[in-house]
Amino acid sequence: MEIIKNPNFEFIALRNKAFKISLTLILIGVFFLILHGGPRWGIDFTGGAAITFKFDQEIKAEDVRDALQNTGMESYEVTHFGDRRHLLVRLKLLHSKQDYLGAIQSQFDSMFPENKYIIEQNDLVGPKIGTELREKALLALLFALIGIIIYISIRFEAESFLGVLVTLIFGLLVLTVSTTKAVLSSDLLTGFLILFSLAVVGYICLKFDFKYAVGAIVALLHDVIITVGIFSILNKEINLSIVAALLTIVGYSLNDTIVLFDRIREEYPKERKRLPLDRIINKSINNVLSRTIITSLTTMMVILILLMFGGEVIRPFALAIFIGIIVGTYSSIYVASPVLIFWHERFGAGAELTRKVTA
Amino acid sequence: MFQNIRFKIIFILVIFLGSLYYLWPTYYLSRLPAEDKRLMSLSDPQGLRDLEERSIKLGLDLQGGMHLVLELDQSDISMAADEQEDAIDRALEIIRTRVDQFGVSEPLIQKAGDERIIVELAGVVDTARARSLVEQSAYLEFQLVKFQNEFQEVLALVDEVIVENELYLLPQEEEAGEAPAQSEQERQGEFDPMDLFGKEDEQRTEPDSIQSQEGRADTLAAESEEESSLDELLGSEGALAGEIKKPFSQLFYQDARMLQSERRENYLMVPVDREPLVKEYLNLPEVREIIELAEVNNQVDYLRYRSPDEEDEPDTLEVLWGDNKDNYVGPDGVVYKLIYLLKKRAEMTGEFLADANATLGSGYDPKTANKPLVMMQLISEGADFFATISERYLQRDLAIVLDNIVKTAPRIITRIPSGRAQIEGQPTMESARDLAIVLRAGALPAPLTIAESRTVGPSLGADSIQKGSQAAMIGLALVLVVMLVYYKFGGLVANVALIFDLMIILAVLAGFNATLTLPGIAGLILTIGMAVDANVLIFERIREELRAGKTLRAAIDAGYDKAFSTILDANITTFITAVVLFQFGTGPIKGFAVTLSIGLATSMFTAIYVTRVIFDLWTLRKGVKSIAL
Repeated sequence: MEIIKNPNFEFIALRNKAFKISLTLILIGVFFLILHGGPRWGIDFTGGAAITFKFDQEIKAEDVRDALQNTGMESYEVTHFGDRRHLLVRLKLLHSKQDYLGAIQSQFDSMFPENKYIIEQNDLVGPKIGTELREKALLALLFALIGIIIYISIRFEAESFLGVLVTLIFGLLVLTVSTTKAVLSSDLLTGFLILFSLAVVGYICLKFDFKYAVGAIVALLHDVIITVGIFSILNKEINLSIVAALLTIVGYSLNDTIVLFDRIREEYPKERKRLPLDRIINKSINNVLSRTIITSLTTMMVILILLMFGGEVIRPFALAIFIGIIVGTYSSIYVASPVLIFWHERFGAGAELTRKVTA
Repeated sequence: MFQNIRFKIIFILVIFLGSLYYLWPTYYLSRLPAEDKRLMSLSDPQGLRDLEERSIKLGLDLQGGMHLVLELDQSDISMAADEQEDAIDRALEIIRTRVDQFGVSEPLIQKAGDERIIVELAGVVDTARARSLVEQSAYLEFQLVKFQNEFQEVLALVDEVIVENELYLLPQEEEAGEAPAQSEQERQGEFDPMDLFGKEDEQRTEPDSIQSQEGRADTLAAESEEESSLDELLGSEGALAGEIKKPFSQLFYQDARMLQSERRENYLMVPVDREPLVKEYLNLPEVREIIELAEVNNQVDYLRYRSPDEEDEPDTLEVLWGDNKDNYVGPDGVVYKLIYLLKKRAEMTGEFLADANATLGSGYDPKTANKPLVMMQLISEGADFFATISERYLQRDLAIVLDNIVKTAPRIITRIPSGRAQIEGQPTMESARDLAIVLRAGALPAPLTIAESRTVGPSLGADSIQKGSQAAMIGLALVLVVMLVYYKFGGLVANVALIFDLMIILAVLAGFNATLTLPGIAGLILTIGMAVDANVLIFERIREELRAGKTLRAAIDAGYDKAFSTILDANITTFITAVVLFQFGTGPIKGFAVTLSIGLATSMFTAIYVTRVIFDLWTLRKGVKSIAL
């Protein structure tokens, strides 16, 4: 069975339209992020407590809010978690020894004596750990990106040996610096470190004409930003497992991009005399199209199942990956490839060609 | 070529059988009814532990439990580096002792960095207990150890109570006769408590002893033991155990080392295997009562054993366990845990302690010079108090009990008037240091706060497992159907590889003692989706080559060749992200990274190697010229 016989669709010609779609998606996401004052960080990153109660009978969130008012706790949030018997209470802690659970339980016992409950989950994250986890998460994303650049440059652009070497050394440098505790002690320094790394990585790519690496990285950032944006639109929180999901998306999207890039690299020497780069890329996309469809469909299918039947705890994680797979498949075709063409024409070997022609 | 393929098939078979071997304990345990499992935990805890060790471990998020990060509380005071080190060591000791009492199987207690302790308790969900873990200050007591003879009499009383009221915790045959799980070796160490009892009166020094710093009483020379060698003892065996019912006392042993040492020990030992059973028995209200009131009710012939100058009234008693650090590995490899019978009322508590330090003994006495010992300094009220105690209980053992665990029980060998005592008989400087920490722990509270705590209830965990595996099954079934419909024969081959892949992943998880978490299950499901990618890549390539007019053989060769580098690239980059995740993630997320990376490696094997062998077999051996793809 075959879905499409000898596909020959026009993808690259649509790249300007795709660019507009991506930009719109990103802008909407950013708009919501600004509207909500940044991503809705979970207690993993902000510190605080989150308790999930499971009641015997359905319970109204408003009643629970009223009950909690008597505890004297200041900022808390009560939502249903899955069905109306499950309740998620999130709160900020005033100090580390606060017996918040005892206070809540005594309220519940007196306000809803008929409705018994069990505590399904009880998480407490101190402010210090929260800050650390935030730093760790950012660094994890950063390291994944650096690792990928290094690998792609080795595999795809080995001719610029020097560039690979510089990237490698830089990666090691960042690793050593960031594992030194002193540097990590402030948010500002972490932020600076990340900005600095991105700047250096950008420079390396420009200097050594890492067009493949640039294409892949831009596509990954695109996927991550859009997923975070959609989470902000849906007002879902970003916690540790969502960060793990983002990294998985990075892995998946990259997988997809590499399959395509591998094909382009294979076709390029054969066809470069005959066809311009964008035609070669369009042909390659068509060549791998049925694989792209089958793989994304099966993966999406299993994640959809996980989303539907995997239970409440795993749902946000599955949702993030589900979004990521759709965006990741799209971005290999419509972000990674156009960036490759753009870079090639502007900075790469193609640029010299263009310059010569104009001169 | 034939030779070659035969080798490959054997290789695959070996991997297949290997996975079955590693999956077996997990399968067996999952099939074991809960009641059988409970019985096994009492009758053969070692066997159960072995099985559990070799099966896939569930993360705290799946089995329910508590993950705690405790941090030194420096909010009020700022500590110098050595103070900080001392504080964290003290805290670690207190936490360790308390967790011991929780009775959690395989708790994890780990120092993380300079100021944190990580505690993982499977099955514990009561957050109030976690708070008590840190918020209570440690409770140090000095309690009088009863003579071993008395201990044995009490055990006999317990036997009677159990037999009379039929309180057996294990099926009868097992208890009276030979417990099936108990090995021959273990049984050989068994003794009849009554046989060895009552031969000695108490004196001597050597190991742990307390004496005054100033004056040292001359210690008695060792009274020569009758030459009952270890072998003789082993030979004697508990022959009586079958005739007279001793369901309880038969679980106890005497320290074999004692026979060669000049010192009579007052503790008994229980093989760690039997610890859960003994604990259950001790928890029975009838048993607790008989022990507690044995002396008061005059059921123990205490007058016979008390030292002449002891003027004590009979008192309530309790049985406490020794520290895990003192566990003794017998010559037969069985690990024994110490157990003590103590007077319940403490002679003194930790509040009278000012300080304690490990040091090397000075002076000329060969027994103490340059040997590690612990110097204990009492506050002034404590000094008078201790002078009285040490006088009254000369030559008796005084147990140092931290949070109901007997840390050590040194013998008082001299009156201590000055409030400065030294505890000798420490084998190493390190153990002396540990003991000093215990003593200081009683003097100061554990300066800890809970920096992070994550608790998952067992019902949520069970729910997650059930839903997660259900999702995995449905997902797997769907993928299998899609592959079969789309690639026909090729799909069938890919499906075989996929199922094999899942088997290997689970086997590797079991074999490497990795932990399966909820994100781990998600990783497994994601792997199902991604594992087919390799086969899709290969099959699409083969189709292309076939379309280009190649023969089946040539197309298969070219398909695998060309797809290989792509698959490798894709997997390595995903692997990079998995490694990063592992490095930076905590608990459950690490589990995700682990399954993902195992899945990447194994899918390379199954999706490329295994499918290739099947194709080769089909086309070479069977001479098939075309296949449905």
